[in-house]
Amino acid sequence: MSQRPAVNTEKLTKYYGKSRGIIDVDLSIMDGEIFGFIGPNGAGKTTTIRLLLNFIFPTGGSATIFGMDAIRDSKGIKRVTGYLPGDAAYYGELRGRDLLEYASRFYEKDCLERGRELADIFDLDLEKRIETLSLGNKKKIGVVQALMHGPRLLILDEPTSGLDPLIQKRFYEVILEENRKGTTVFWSSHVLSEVQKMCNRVAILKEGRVLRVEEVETLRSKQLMKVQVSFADPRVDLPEEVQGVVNPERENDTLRFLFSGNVDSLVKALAKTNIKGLQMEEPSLEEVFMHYYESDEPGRKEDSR
Amino acid sequence: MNIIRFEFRRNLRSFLIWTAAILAFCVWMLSVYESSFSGLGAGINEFVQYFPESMKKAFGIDRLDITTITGYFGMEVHLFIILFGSMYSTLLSSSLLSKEESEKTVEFLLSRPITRTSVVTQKLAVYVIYVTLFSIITWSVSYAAMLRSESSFDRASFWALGGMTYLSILAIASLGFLGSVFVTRHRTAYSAALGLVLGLYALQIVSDISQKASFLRYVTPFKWASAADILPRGGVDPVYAALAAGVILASVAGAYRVYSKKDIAV
Repeated sequence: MSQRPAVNTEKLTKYYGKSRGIIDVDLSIMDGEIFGFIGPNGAGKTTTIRLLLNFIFPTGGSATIFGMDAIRDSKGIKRVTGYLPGDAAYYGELRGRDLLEYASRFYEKDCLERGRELADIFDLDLEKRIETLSLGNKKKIGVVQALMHGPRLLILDEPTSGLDPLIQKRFYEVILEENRKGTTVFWSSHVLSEVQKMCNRVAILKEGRVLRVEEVETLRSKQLMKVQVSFADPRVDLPEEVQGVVNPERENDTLRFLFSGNVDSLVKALAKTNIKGLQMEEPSLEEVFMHYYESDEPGRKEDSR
Repeated sequence: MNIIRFEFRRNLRSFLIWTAAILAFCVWMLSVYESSFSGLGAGINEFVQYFPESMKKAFGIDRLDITTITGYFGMEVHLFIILFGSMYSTLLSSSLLSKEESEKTVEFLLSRPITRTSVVTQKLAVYVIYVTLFSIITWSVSYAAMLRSESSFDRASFWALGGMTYLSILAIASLGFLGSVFVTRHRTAYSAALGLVLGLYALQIVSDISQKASFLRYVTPFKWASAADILPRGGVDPVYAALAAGVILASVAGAYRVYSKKDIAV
């Protein structure tokens, strides 16, 4: 992984009239990286992608891809970029083969062979009219057209929605293979487990702003601990001095919470009480993610007692 | 070139159907003249004298002699060609860009290495090619059909009418092309295109009937290619030709300008 950014945005901002798209998004995706982009629907993931591809124009800020300006050099960017839209639609009356031929003619090299190869990998029948294909098979068309010209940057918007598990697995393999060959991947998703599995770093987007950018590992392991304590006496609660308890849930004698404080002091504080059981584990990205979202809402701030 | 080729094929079938239908009707109308009107002579002229004044003006009967092949062509066949020709052309021109958005294929298209300017140029070329083919075919066949029934008509004014009809249809289609940059929902674009054509045609009738509304002659391309004006005059009014060219250029320039700056989100 070299240190040259493949994608760089500075204070990228988009308003649709008065309604918020994204605000001051700063991203720097390294060449060769698989970069996750997560957030709930409406957070601005697709808006960011559309700005990178110049489908829409920014209200403020700028973006470059491999040093090319997203607006001025959009054509050059698209020579080396493959895009898999979240909600893909292709010319329904065409057969898959016709679409790939049409797509292929936009590039200077012949990409049909690679297109057919990919169709084979994904079990896609290129002789059928696109309008007769199922949602999953239409998605496969999207995958093939995004990959066939061997792009250096892949922009994937919710790539696995609609694909069955077997095909998803092949999809992950193909993306990892492309990545090994040097392709940078920008992976937008709300399926956290796949981002956790596939990505090196991840940006968390909330209400149009980048909340933070983290190594997937850091995000998962260092920040939070998932804790479950069973007290011998159901009336007993955590000692007062414990700091950093998030979203506690009490069920009779059992207390579950995410813990962002010092583990040592937690254990020492618990030692003063009588407990039946204690479990601590790394939370899933999903749980971490929920934490980021919930901790910002008024009335649900980190519960320090 | 890739988009031109793709869209040319994609729209070929509807071109063939519209052209064949319009041609069949033109040939049939011309054969009706041969079998009935040509023999009537002065009788029919006397008959139409009793038409209300406004109706005569609306259909150009006050300026055209329906008993000659040229007059008959101008009143019946030409109206059919320009009205349905512009309907076909505008439905085509207004769908080329808007369909990509309403059918959500535009993200596929715009993620290819191509500038928006080139998208507009190629889409524009498609309707210009089809309108040109349509005009050449309908006019050549009409010419042949007229030659067959009467060899002594005024060729110059016939071709002048043909040329101006072509420009007018192109102007209306270009307005539709410009409009489709703003109106992209398929149903709305379709209705708007038909509304534009019929509305402009209605304006032509109003401009012919009413003295007060005669300024409308500068507004509607149907008037610029009016057979009742061009055939008796023996040529095209250069003001109208300039207007048509101006509308085409302005519409196309507007389409380039708006399309290359607009947000395209489906």
